[in-house]
Amino acid sequence: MNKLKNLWQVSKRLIMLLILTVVTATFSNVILFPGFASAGQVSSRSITMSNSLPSNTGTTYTVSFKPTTSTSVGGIVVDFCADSPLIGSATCTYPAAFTMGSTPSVTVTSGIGVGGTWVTTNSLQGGAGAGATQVLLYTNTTAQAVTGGTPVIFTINNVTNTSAAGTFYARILTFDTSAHTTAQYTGAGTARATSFANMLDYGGIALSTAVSVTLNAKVFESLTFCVYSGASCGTAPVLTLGDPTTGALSTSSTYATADTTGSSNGAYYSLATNAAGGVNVVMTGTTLCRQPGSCGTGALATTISAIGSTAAVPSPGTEQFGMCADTTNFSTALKAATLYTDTIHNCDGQTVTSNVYASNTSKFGFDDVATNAAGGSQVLTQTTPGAVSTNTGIFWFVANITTNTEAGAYTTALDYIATGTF
Amino acid sequence: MLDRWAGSINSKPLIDRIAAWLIALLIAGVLTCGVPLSAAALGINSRSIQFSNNTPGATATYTISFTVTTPDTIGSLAVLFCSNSPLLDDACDVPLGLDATNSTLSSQTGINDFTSFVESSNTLILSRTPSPITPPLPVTLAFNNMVNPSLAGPYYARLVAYSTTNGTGPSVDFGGLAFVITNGLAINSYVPPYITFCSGTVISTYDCSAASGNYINFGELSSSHSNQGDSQLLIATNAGNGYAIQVFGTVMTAGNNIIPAISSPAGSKPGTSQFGINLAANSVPAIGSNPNGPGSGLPTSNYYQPNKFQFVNNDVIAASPVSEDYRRYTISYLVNASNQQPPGIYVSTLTYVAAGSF
Repeated sequence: MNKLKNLWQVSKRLIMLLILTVVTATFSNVILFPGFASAGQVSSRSITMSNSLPSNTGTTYTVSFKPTTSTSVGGIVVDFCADSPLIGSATCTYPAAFTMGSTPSVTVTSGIGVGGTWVTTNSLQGGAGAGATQVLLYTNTTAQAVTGGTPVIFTINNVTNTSAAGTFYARILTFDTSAHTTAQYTGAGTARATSFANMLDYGGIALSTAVSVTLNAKVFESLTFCVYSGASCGTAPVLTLGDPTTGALSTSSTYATADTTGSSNGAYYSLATNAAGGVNVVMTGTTLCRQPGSCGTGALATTISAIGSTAAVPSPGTEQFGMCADTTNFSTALKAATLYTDTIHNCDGQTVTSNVYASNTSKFGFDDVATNAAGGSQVLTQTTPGAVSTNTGIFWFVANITTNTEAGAYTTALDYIATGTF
Repeated sequence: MLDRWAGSINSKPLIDRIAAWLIALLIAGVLTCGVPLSAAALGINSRSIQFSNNTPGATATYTISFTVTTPDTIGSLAVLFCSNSPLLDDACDVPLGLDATNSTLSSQTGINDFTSFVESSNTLILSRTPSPITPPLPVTLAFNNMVNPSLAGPYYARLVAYSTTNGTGPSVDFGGLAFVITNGLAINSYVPPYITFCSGTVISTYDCSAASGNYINFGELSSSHSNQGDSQLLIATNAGNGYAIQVFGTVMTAGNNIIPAISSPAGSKPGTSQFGINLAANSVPAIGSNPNGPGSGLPTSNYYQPNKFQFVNNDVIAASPVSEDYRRYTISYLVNASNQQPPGIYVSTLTYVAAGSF
């Protein structure tokens, strides 16, 4: 138990130290360095890393700071330290595995002149290994103008981040000349001078590397489809094709199951999928059929003849059972199969009054040879495979009879099968 | 345990509580973000499942199609049906009502050497001698006697390929898919029974509104020649078993005197008292015509013999075994009188009744 308590105390202290460090880094612009009374602290300073993964190579560091004065600058120092951002600290611990390469690559963006020749060849190895650099010395024998309060922005290219996850620091210093830069900032290993003559400005910055966050998400294969009447998907729809009161068909009028205003007698469908290969819908079942007898296509069938495999307009007095599919709410990729495409009115926009289809100008079809076969009759298909957003459409049915269509109650049970290809 | 831990922490000073919660958040972050999903090879593409019937509870054939796109060695293929997820890493909830225990592998293409078939209520396992696949390989498998889930809605299938022959060990390929069980659409309709029937001395078109006349005058009968007349009937019905037309009435009478009916088909015999009808085209005498119109009904045989007539009360004179469109019959009336036939005004009223057999 005592060991656990000690562990807790140590952990607590570490956490609070971490918090304190973050707070310190965040508000470091209020830290004062009384040893450099003649220099000013650069403001609005930052280093933006293009990638904060530990050991990431090819990282771009974008350095930005505002000089306090407009004194020309002959050298800029950016020293990366694992221990402290404080200029004047006697040490600058080397961030493990950090390097800007043997000769750092720097590109000036704005805020400082590009006359003369800016070089990085004076950069220091510091605590880094052979061929690596810890300290950028960006010097120009021709001092370049800056404007006090105007950001100086440049990038250090092809940096290899430190391998340690967590906070590390950069110290920025500017000098009036190149010679003063190289003469004053001469740190060997991790030792650093505690004061610098001819320094113009200075400031510390905190940076951080962090392990990447792995996020997992699931997207299920999805296919939703239903056929319904009324407001939405629900119980199995049962529709009446005929007079609203008697349910009877007529030799003089075409009866329909749906209208464009959302009749409760309509047959609607809802469809959506994320199947990359798209979706198709087939229909199985028979034409309107009266028992007894086989309701499939055959000699024993007592049926109202299906329109067949060629779409036709309704014709009162002719035995007909047909359907068209409205897909106007869907994207152009989802289409009704040719047989169920109303080329006249897109299976839409027609008048149905008391279940009587008034205009008889749309085209309908019903291939009961196919609907009675194993594969069914294709109703909906996609011209271009891909996902289908949720939407609704209408299946319209019409029926006509002749004077000698056998009397009786006719029914059919149609099954719509949606298949997505994932 | 967590409650006790939280309670103990809350009793600590603020700095302790902050540190403790930071540690807890760190641990939670590692647990939730640091464990990636397993990554089975996703070499089963273009996956689909086609139902012969997708209504709830129906027994159907499931046809599963996919393309193997990796050159893996496949020794078995498992097909799992789940109600909750298509993903291999997730637990599989058995769809309510789905039953694969009686299913059979009815056909296979692409890979066609699956030799054994083991099933449970929601799992099918196909086995073969392990051998590598040459991609891309389209595969189609059909399973009979699958019982659909009992509720409408979306469901999932997982296709998992193994190098072993029994669906065990690490999977070599995987693919999920979704399918949907849908309530069927029922359409009810009703065709009312009807029969259209009318009579007249003339019915000029196949329309009862065109019927006119109900009186035939034979004039003065003679023993030297026959007298005749005609009328017409028009009928249409959707009675499934057709119709029958009967004639009701008496022979021609004048008080107690009658002109006898011809009881069996016979020709005209002027000088012999006789009364009969038929529904055929006759030449002796030249009267009548055969039935016409889009219907198919016919006179009964005794009344459909040219030049032969008969009259029997209640006889069916025409019929059809099926529903039919309009059919027009012409009825010819033949009257002969002997020279002993008592004088008088002979009259008869005949009534035709059509009965549909629905």
